[in-house]
Amino acid sequence: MSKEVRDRNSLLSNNFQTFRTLQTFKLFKLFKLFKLFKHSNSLNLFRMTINQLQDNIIEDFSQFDDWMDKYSLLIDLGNSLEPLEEKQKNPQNIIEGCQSRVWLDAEMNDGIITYKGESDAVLVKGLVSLLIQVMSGHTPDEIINTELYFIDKIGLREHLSPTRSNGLLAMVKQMKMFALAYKATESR
Amino acid sequence: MTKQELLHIRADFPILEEKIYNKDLIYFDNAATTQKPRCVVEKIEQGYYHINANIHRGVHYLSQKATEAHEEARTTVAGFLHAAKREEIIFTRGTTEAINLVATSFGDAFCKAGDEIVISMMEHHSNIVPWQMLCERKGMKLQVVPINERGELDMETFKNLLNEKTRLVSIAHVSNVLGTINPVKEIIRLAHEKDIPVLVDGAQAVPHIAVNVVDLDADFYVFSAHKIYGPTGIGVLYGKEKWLNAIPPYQGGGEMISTVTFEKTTYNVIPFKFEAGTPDYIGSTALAEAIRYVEMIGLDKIAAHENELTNYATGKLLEIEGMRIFGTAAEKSSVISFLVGNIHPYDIGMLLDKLGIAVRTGHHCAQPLIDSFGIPGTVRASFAFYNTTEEIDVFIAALKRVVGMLS
Repeated sequence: MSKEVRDRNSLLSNNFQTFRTLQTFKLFKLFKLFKLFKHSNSLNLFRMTINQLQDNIIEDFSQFDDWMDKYSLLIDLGNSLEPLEEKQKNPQNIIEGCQSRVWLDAEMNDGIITYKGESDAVLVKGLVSLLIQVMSGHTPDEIINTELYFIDKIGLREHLSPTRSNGLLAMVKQMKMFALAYKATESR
Repeated sequence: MTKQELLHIRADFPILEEKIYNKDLIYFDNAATTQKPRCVVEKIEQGYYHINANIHRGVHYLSQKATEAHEEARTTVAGFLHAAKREEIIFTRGTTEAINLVATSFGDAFCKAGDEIVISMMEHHSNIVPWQMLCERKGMKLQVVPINERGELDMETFKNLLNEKTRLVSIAHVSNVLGTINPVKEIIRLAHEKDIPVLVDGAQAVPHIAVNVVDLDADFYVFSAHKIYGPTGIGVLYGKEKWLNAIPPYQGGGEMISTVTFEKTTYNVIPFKFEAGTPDYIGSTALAEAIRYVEMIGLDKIAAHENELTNYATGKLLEIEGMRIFGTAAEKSSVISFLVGNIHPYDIGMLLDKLGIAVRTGHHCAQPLIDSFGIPGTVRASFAFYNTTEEIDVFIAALKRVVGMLS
């Protein structure tokens, strides 16, 4: 093995770095719990706007400099995403992505839309989870009129190739389509 | 290949010095496209800066120089494939266009409703779709040779598929997913016993294997320049003279004509009959330069080094728990397709990318093959002669890290 390889390998398995990442993660999880608690107390008083939710995500991701840490977070989010029921994974709900399959479903109760989604790739599931965090729990009008800027801000657009980010855009488009459809049924 | 030789070779490829996300680039996507040595890029620059003029019709100095360079490139390619005549070399936009040319022109001349074309399970989409389109146009049938669990062609079924309705066999020399080197000489011999011509898709073969079209007795042999260290947008169709004379032109336009009147146009002789419009004479000369570069290193040496890399990587990969390698043919090129446990190939590819390692993920334009395994795709690492065992060590360490994150 050359020196270069050794250096790189040692970087890959650097104990200190792993330790630091873990610590950051524990802190991060605590921070998340705290935020959740804060939000649940105020849930009835006021509903967070889509932009507030986007800003939250931007803040979450800004804590990581290293790309692998950002992706670890995305994997975590993907793994904890509530799976779709098998019957919801029907051809109607499928979004033709580039390399992985994505399903998206929506329902509306009391004028509020809730999204559910899944993918066979965990990183994509993480992205779906982020979109659901932002878009779920809002009225059709709020969803239709939303401009999603968090994807850019957390650097996922520039780090996903055009075809891949088209898959992401297709998801957003599908979410808005659901909202449009529900709006149409509402006004009937 | 000695360490010193390898260092010299790597120095010819400036892109290998690139940093990706602040990490050294490790390029293991050579089956998709290869990197270009400096001499090839310089040839392109030299072409545009010093001998650029439209070829074949100018009387002036530059036009003649450019024509000479383009026609010399044809001779170089003919020599590389050991073609009997330089006129048997047609420049196309690539493998895909070459196959489309044959599917269209051969199809028009020799195929009718009820006829059959034989391809295999492991074909790239570019060797499936043109034949499907021909079958749709003419009401013909596509017959597919299956593969065994190692990813080798089922030769018994192949023999049985050949019958009096078979018009042509079109088969990959080397699989872009499995790396399988198909016994094309045997395939051609069997097909010729029944007077069936054979097209060989050599896109994945020419960078690794010395090809002799006369020895193979191939009727058509096609490849792309960009997979053999040449530029994108140019490729080659070799066709036996008798076939190229027997089939009609593919596209009409300038260059491919002999005389044009509004009543009747007569066509030029081969190879010009198939090269309508201004040809990519810069690309052809750069391709010739790439071939000279490969020949200078020697395909024997290249194959030996790439085999060493493939064996080394295969051994290391198999140490990883849950490793599944697709394609374990006895005769195999420097391509390794794999999956780890139930991890989606996209996830592995994305994270390896963040570590500076370029691999391919997905169905690799061979969807029927991937579907036959019942998997969403594979991760594919493919090596070229400029890759090193040290790079494989880094790749394996990175893969272990990524698998750890995803498990």
